[in-house]
Amino acid sequence: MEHLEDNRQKVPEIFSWLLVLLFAYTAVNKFLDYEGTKAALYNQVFPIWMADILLIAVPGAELLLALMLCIPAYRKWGFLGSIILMGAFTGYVGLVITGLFDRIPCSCGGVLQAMSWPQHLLFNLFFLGISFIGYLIERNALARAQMGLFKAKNTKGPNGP
Amino acid sequence: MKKHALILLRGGVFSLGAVLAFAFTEPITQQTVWGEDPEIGVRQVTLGSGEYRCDQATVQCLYSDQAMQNPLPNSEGQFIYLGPSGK
Repeated sequence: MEHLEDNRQKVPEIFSWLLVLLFAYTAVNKFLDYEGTKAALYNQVFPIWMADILLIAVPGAELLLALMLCIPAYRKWGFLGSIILMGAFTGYVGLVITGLFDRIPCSCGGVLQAMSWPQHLLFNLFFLGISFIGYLIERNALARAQMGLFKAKNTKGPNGP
Repeated sequence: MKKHALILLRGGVFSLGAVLAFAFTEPITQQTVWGEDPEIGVRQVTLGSGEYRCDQATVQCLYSDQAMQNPLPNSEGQFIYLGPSGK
């Protein structure tokens, strides 16, 4: 049982490494190529004022999440933040692909510019999936740990509870 | 010992991501670029402004010279000129 627990804890650890790698790369990339990122955001279907906000908010959030995922105490919240961020990205890519907007912007100038929109959608879905699984495992592990503490506190001793 | 190794590993993964970004990022610094609108021809625009957009297409959207001989990296798409006031 302990062996199974150890293996189960390795899964969120490995998943967090993948997400840290992705977020660290994309955040630093956006800061390094500020003009290119700005051009790419301005070319999207949302208004320019929103692009100006996202220009700082997105890489900032990615950096914060990467740090949170590195720290075990905050990993659960890091996974939750990843679900929200990747969910937003995935939702936007999905909406663009469906043609809901009056145009499809080129997928150029972005961080993963070698990908087409459908490829980007699959890529995002993968990372959304591991964020979700990692969050569930971390949450269950914390719940089990808290249950263990609760049981230890309420265990009957030789003189009663 | 195992705990310290894990801490180093996590820091290493973060650093690897940053290093890869430095290695593979090609920053665009040019401000003035050119593109060819299918209806009104070649137009000069400011990179990252609202004066133009690049719609999904397999053609080159932006060039770094007026003669349109030097394509700007990572700017594939159909150039549409929107004017000085943008969208």
